[in-house]
Amino acid sequence: MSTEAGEGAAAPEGAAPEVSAEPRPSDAVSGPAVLVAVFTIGTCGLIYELLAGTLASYVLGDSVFQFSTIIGVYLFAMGVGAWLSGFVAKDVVARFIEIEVAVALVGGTSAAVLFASFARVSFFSIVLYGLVFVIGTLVGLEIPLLMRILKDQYDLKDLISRVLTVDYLGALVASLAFPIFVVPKLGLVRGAFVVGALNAVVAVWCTHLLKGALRRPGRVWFLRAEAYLTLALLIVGIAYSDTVTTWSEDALYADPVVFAKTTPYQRLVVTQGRSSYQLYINGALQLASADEHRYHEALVHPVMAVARARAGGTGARRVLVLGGGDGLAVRELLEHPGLESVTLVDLDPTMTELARSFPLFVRQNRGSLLDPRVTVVNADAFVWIGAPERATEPRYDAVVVDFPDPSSFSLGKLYTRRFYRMLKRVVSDDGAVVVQATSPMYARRAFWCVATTMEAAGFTTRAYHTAVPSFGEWGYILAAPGAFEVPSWLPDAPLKFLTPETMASLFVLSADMARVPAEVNRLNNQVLVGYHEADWARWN
Amino acid sequence: MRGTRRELLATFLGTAVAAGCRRRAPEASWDVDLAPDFSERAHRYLRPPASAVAGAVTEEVRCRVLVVGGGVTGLTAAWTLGRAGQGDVVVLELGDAAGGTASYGQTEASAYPYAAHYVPAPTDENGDLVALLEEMGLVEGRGPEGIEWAEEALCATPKERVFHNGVWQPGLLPRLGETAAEAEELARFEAEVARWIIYRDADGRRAFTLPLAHGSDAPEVRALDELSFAEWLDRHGFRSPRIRWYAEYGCRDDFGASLADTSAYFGLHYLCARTPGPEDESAEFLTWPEGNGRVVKHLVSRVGAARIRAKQVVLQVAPVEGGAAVVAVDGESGVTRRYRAERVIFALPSYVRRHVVPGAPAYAPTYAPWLVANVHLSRRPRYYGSEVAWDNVIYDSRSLGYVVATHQSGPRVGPTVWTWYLPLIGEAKAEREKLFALDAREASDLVVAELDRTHIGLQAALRRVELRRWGHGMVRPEPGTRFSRERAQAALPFGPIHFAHTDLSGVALIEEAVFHGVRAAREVLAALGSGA
Repeated sequence: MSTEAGEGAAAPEGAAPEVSAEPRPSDAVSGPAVLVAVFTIGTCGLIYELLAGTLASYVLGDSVFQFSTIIGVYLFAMGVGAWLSGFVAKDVVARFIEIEVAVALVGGTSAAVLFASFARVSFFSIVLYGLVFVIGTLVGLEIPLLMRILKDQYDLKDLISRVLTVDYLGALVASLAFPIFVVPKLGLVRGAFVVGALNAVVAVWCTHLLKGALRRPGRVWFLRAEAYLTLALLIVGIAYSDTVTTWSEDALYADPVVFAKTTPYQRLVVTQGRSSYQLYINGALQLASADEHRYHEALVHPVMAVARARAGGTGARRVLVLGGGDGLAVRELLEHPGLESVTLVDLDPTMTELARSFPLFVRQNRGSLLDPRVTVVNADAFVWIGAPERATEPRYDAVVVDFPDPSSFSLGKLYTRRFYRMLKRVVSDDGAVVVQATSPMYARRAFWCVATTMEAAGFTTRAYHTAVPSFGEWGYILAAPGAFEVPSWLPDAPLKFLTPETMASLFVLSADMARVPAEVNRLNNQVLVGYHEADWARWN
Repeated sequence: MRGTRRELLATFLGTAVAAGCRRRAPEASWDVDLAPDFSERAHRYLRPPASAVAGAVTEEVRCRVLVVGGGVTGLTAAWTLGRAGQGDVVVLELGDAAGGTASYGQTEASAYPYAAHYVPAPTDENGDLVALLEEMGLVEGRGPEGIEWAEEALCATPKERVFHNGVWQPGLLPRLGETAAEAEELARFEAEVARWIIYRDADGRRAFTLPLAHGSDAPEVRALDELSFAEWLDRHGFRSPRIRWYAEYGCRDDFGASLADTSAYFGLHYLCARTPGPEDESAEFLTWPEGNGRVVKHLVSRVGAARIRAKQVVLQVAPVEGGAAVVAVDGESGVTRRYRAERVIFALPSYVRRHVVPGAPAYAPTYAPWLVANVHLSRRPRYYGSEVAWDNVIYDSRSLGYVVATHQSGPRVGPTVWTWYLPLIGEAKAEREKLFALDAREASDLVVAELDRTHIGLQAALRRVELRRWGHGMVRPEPGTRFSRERAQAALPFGPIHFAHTDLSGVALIEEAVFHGVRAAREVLAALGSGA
């Protein structure tokens, strides 16, 4: 649209540059100069919105609703600003300059603030939408106030047409400058500082331009000081943008980072505290060594017990693990006597290599991926499970599905009816499957959507849960091609968490986790990603 | 083409792409293949008067029905004949293989389309297309909400995203940076479209249907065909650049035409025909890595590859005593054959008639030229904004963006093929000349500049750019097309010669290809039945 934006918005009849209004007595304001200020404001305002949207998609990953919510909040806030402008009664010029300074300050630091606050994930949404709201409100205040400042300069129709034309022109420039200059040449954090500084320069200029129109021109030094101070701060920001970015990424993690690598698939970060270490994938905590045993024992042993019961007391011999490249689920599997082979399919070779050779991991998984019974395949599980070879291979007695949460469409694909149908074809008729299914408490609809979807693929399911302090209340769906009882059998192994009694208790869900209706997650609707995002948003 | 790279980009893709393009990285390198235009094969033999060639006939072939043209229309005709027990059919195809605009390629990474790439899931109203898709194993059952399609064939979410303001946004219409006035105008536009979705004429017919032939011809519907979509938008006061972009995107995508060159009837048809009710979502798409090549594969397997002869240049089709005679040259061996058939189905674009079917009523609508590029990548480049979708649209470019061949079931990392589309929407003849004046390097520059601007690190991942020029890519539904008497007459048989092509509907949609293929085959079956 860029090339057409001006045209669509244009309304002036005859673009004569002369001011058609008759001169007014209080001719203290230069109209055309102020229009230049409007232009800058229009440009900067849109760039802040674009920055917020882009940055949110950058730090939060592939998010579905970010754009529409940010746009909605911004537009709403602009309306709030316009409404608030009605309450500015006195000294409109001074208020306008102060708002200009405030936009420069808030907008200019917005990207840095967002980057830095992302580390405190618990309230990031509030910061994000709060900032967007504040900027939108301030930008919404500007134009009505400017119109009032200029009202003695022009007739109403000329005033509206000129201000709006210039404002739209500003938006056009923004939509060109943002992709062509700001993002590639400056980056998000420095780009925001630069645009803020531009805003501050306009504020300084306005203190000269509008001095005569101030109610108390003697106080102009105060406004000027505010504007210069903001400008100075933003220039410092421009100079130290890189430091801000680095510092923000470091602050993401509570403990020192001992390993970090961006693979073609994801960003892996390992941090180590005094008594525990943590693995993060794309900034989201995947495991903490202090309590992962709760998660992994609960993941593996119930499905092995069901497979054993369904096969008439013969323990599972061939087991498939999808995801779980840390080797911890395999560690639990290897406690089962009679196990002959484990095939582990994980997307990222860096992850499985880490599990095989990084000392912290090898100690934790007891070298599980080095066991001769284990075969590691680095492949996309969706492609691997649908490959024609699967149809000719022997089926698996038990399958452990341990993918990251469905926070993007590419992960959501691994939770669809299509995927579970393909999964069903590789499980033996008396086998069993378990799927990690996010939190039944924080993401209740998402959790039950997984159960509903598995049932739609022809599985019989039972939901269960456990508490993992690092994550909170966590849930799994146990499933089989036919009916099965709640399991109670455990291998003769030194488990830290499970006992036959606790195992039965996992299958009791409290009222706040009880089943809720959900749609079937299909490839062509991917409803689960939406459920997951909406559910978790209530807790973040 | 002479001029700078920037001028080239501005000419073909618009000023925004030219302004935003990056320099070619010196260390990056990729192969460029510009596929020879297969119409060159036809031109080679059609240059001398066709009658002069007839003397050189060295072989005679007899069959009951001869189908000229192995695109989806011709293949569907042959398929319909076969299903009705009429197996004595030969299909002649000009290209290296059957498929026409639904042809496809294949590498180790993926199959990929050369042009047409999806089938909107039809309703039971369109029984012939449903039957074809059902035979392909795509119908899982029928529920209260209609046909249940195989999940893996329905286009997976995310279906589309749009690049605007430097960032990829979800959906087709960019909302980031929208003003309140634009939001209001959009709501008004949607309400107007909804009015046409629920429209029923005195006989209870909808205004827009697929196939088109089932739609209403009430005066208010006919009136739509008398003005361009641009005029219609003007009359309703739709001036927001976003809405006009959205409306024109549809015209470029489905018709290769500008707003001014599209009949308002077809502009609205694009928005209404596949949406059952105003509250409903538009119909889902069926798609495969090779696009509509999947349909071609099925039809070829059913018709039988042995019945399809590729690389054949048809020189003349004429009625003779007891049937029709068709003269064709083998583009490879140069052997000229005369085919004698009781009936001929002529499934080539109508503009070819005047060269090869002497005496038949002429019909020559306008056709849009297209440039299509298959972009082979060794890995996925990064980007800002929402996740890669099946259809990735670029707002401020004249191209349509690209579709991802590995979207349906492929991995989300590693090698892939993107298919990029550029319809040339200006005056058709001038655009065609512009297109064929491009050399391989220039054509690949267009694609690369645009994709490089919208991604990070594209050049380093780029391995090969495969380019195809479609001189007469698709028919344009200009104002007056829908209710044109000339068009209706062009579809009538000329003696033993029956005509079938999407241009007889005025739109290059697979629904119309199947409709005409089936219709012509039924005409032939009826004629053979009564003649026997």
